[in-house]
Amino acid sequence: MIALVAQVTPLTNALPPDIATEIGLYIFILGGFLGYHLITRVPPLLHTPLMSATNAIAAISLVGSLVVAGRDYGTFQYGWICTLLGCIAVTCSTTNAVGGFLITDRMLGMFKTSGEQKGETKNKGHWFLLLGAIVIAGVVAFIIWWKEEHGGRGLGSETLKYSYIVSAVMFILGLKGLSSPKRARRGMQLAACGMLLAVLGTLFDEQIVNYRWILLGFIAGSVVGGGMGLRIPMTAVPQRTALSHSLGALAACLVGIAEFILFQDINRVKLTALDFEVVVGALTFTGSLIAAAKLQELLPGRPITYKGQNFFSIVTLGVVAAIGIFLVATQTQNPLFYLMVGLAFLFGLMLVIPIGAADMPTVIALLNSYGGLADASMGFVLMNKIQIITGSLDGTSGFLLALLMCRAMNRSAMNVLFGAFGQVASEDEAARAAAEKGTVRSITAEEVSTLFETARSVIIVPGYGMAVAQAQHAVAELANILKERKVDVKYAIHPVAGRMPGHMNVLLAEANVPYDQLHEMEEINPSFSEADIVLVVGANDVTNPAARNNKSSPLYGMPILEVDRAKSIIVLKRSMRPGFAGVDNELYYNEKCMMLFGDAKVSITKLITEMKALI
Amino acid sequence: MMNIAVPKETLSREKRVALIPDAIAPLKKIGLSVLVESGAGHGAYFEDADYEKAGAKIVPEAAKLLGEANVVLKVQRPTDPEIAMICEGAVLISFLYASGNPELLKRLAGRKITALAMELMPRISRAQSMDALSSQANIAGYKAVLIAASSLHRFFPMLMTAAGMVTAAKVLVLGAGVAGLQAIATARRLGAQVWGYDVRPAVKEQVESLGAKFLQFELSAKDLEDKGGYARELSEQDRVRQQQWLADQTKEFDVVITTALVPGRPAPRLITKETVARMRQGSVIVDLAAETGGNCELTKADEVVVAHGVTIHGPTDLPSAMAVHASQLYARNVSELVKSITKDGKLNLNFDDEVLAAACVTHEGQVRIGKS
Repeated sequence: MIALVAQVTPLTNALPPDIATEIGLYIFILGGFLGYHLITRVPPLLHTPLMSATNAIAAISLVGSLVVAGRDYGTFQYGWICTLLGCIAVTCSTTNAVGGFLITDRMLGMFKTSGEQKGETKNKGHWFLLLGAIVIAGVVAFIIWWKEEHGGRGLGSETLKYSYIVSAVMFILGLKGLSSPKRARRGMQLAACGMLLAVLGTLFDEQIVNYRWILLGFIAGSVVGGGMGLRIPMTAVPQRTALSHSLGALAACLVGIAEFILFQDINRVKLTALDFEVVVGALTFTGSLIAAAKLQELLPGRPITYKGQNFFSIVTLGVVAAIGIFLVATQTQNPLFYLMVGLAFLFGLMLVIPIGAADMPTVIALLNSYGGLADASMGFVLMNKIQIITGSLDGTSGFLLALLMCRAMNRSAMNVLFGAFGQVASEDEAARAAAEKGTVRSITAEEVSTLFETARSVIIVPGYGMAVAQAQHAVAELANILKERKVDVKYAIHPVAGRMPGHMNVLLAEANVPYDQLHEMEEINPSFSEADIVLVVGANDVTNPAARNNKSSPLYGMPILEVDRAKSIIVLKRSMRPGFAGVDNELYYNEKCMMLFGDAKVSITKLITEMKALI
Repeated sequence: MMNIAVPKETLSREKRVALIPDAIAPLKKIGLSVLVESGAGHGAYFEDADYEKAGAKIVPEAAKLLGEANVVLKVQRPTDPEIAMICEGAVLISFLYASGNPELLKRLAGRKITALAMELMPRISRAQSMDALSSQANIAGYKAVLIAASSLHRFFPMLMTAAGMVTAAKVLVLGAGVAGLQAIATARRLGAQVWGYDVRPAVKEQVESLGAKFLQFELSAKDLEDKGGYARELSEQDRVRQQQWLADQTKEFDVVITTALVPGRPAPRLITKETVARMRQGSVIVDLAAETGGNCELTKADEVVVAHGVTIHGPTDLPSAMAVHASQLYARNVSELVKSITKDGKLNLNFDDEVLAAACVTHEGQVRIGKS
């Protein structure tokens, strides 16, 4: 796919516009598939950094803004408006880019393994920033000098092409890096370099002659974005993302308006893309602002609803669509365009206001996706391939991320987006009922695999569930993988594990687990407090803390494996059904305990696949 | 100080001992003293010197030992002379097979002995460490497979050699209690193809959890498991149907190990002489129910019978044939029970405790069996 992009890019400049559009569409579709595949690999643990990262990448609207801000409008009477809009767009998208990458980097810094030292990398980060600034200044000076000497021909367009190809690859690798906590940070730094390269490359663009406004936008955006990225507390990340996101979308919208004012080389395709860009950009701007306000508690977090809301929203959207179609059909510079933009701003407000604050992260991911689509359409308007690629990546990844987040919350996307219509009360009751019993946290195989990334010591507690699932070979394979990674693995065998004396021994021997890894209860109980992870494979009663502290339990007095002393506990279990003694296991309500439901063999096989993928 | 006494087993074939040297330290730690009759551990290769080193006092004669005892630990039920030697008010812990022995109970009650029957341990999670039936049945199941393997004139595993291929032996295990499950596991480890069968359908999952297959037979009664987890006796009609079906299945196997027991009743007759006649020559049957009449009609307790070319074993002392580990496991079972009836080195009989209430058959002159 990357090769394809590389092949077609140099050709398109020479092609007539309709073929260029067609190729652009192919790029868009392929970019979308790529985004889909990259994001399916990202573990839920990294969803928030991913949201922030795609947000930062969405700031590729900067590339388009640069062109608008730096273009020579000659004798065109409204040229100054275009330049002004471009300058604002540059400021907005620079804020988005700088802030987005900085905050993502900070977030990913928290996933550091124990071996790394915090202070050291932080200092390095500052040096890199300084170095980057010097390089940028140098390159910009060089470009200005070059253009004065040679009139901007030759070197310029070549540099532009190649820098775009390289930065597209960097974005893709950067997003791929997010599939593992180990490489996420480096991946994001790579994406930031990609962004830098794309921006620098754009500065070579033949259309850009005037650097004053660009420089102004850069400085203003960097100061605001940098301040936001470095100072905002980690707890405020979601609203920061929403806010900087709204700026990115605003940039896309403003660039679109500027293009409309200029109204040059207009055809149906370009006008369609332009309409789409402006509308989506506008509604994403206001939608994100509302989302940020709700998260910051400037607006009440609860869903705000009123009668006829559905009707009103649909009518607004209908009018927007009608104007858009009219404009494309007539291909005129009709002032209705500005009405459409206004209504799109309004629609963004109405879209987000009825959604509760708890669902905002999902909404932000979704708005992210819209932002990506706005970027991609801007790419079509300006025939800028890097924007098409990035916008497409961002659009699909944001949408998929929103779906994944819904799934993680065990709700449908429909329920999140339109949940405000009627259902709110019953959900609250269900939540209250669940809270009284304590919560059982369920986890996926992917998440477990990321937890194993940082574990140094693991104790496996097999039980009858392992025997029933015949999971002994899978368990042994998992243990071997962990041992290859220098993880200390022990098996804790409770005297009554299974349905027959020595049940576990028979099975583990079959799977060639060495005898010296098997430990009796009394021997291993003191080790649990030092274990990073206890993996309970289908054992139940023998881990129930009720045996120790609940006198009314039928298990009271039975010695148990003290798994609840471990730093985290992962329980593989078919369902919440009680074990041999028929009692509920209070271990499952422990906040350190996570349940991986399903057949033990299937779960562990999945876990092994995930772990191998992370290497 | 309370004396725990371990007499020498008087049954001639019994090689086990109720307490091994390693089990003495934990009892001394909770304030008990341990007396061992000279030569008590000899059959299981534990000598007097080992016991002395572990902190026990060696007593040369049974009469003196039992006279000083507060708690007597035995494997096999006591003989009349032994009962006469135990002092009144003492606690006796042993296998008693109480429900089939009203005479024995009367005599124990007559001596005001508090008798705890090891075979009556309730099947609850907490009492699993005292479950001597399981610990000994486990050994029997293992050993039964070894007996079968050594008297079968075939390989257990499949082998593909330059001299041709050897097919794996087919083993059927009837009754999937502890002994049956261990037999299944052991036969699998030796490489045989193993099938399990039990009248309790819930056991299917347990058989399959050991990697064996389950023979399925539909019975009319829905749930054949009683509340203690043991099998119930079948109705006459079911018994006939089951026998016919089993006969058809059994003739396909090289080895049949039967472990079907119904507590307090004669063993169910699963294999008739007609079935044996239809089996392949050279096949082996190991009948672990020989003591209560046998699952096979031709079984004779403690004898090897060859009928229609089929070798039929009826061993009743398999745990004793592995006396070292059998004693070690039994010692842990009785030690846990002793711990549960003592407090600060003194006897503490709390009949609210489910374990004691179920196991105690005589107390203060009363026969308590049936009450719980």
